Amino acid sequence: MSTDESWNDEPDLDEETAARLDNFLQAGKTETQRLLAESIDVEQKLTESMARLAASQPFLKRTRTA
Amino acid sequence: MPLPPWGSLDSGEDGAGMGWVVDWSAQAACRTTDPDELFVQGAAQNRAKAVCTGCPVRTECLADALDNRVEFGVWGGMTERERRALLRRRPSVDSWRRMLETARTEYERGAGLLPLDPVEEEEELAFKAFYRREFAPLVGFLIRAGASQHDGEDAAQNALEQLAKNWEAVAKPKPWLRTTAFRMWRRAVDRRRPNELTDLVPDEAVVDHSADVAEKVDVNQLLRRLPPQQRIVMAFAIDGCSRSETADALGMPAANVRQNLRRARINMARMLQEDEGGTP
Repeated sequence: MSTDESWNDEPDLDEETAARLDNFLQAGKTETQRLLAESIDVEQKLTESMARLAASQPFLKRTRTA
Repeated sequence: MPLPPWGSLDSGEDGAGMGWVVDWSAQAACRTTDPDELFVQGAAQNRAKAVCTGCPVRTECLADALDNRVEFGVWGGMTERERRALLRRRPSVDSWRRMLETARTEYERGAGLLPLDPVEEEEELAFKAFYRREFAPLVGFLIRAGASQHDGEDAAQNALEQLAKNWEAVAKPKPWLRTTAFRMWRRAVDRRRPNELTDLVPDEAVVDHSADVAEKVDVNQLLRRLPPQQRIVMAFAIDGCSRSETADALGMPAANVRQNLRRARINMARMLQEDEGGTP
């Protein structure tokens, strides 16, 4: 969370409901990340991106073989 | 650039050694340049830094400026603004000399590659680490905003590539990345389904029949039942973006962000209650 405000800085929900909702959101976020970690090949995505960037990126354009 | 008045780096007592030029000012390409030409302001610095191109001690000069937090002038081929952005992005670096020297040494050892500019090499390594760390969370954000996993992965990839092109200029990559990825996803959906969108986000989230993460996780299903503006504001909030960051990202007044977030929370709490027994 950013420090300047919270999700629930106004009393939109009673304490118990707010806590239940926040737990639900956090658990859902964690579960989403777990499933994504299992299903996404980040290295493959990175390789594809670096290949696309190679022609135009300043920090890649000088990667050349001897 | 000339040495700063508070002195130069010492001669390798921290383990730094071969190849690192301690008395670099004597070899600097700018040693005969009028200092007034280097201590210019604003856009003029981008012209002034041309003198650093090909300078044999550019890295040493830059490390000195970064380690000593030199605020003014062009140092090591970087303007004041570029150095400030670099320092903001890498607050944990306690010795730029050590980091840059290590990067240069490691690179020079790399088989089959000619020496790179170690600053750029280090930036590339930093970007790759950022990419590996942020890719999946960014896809998660897009799913919560309404994207399918497939669309989320495409938009995340495109946004991260866009970030690479602006790597030195983006001070707050997290909200920047979410804004950019969100807009890229919207544009992609817009091209595909031009008649099915509201003015902000798709009314109906994209249905993906592959039973992906969006469908497997209850919270994502619940988010899809929210009105579009509440859903996207909630997605930013779940990812820890502040109201002001969300307002900037969406071009929405902060008061509207607050209102939508409040309504989203009330709606989600009600739906959660109705779906009693559901698990996240």
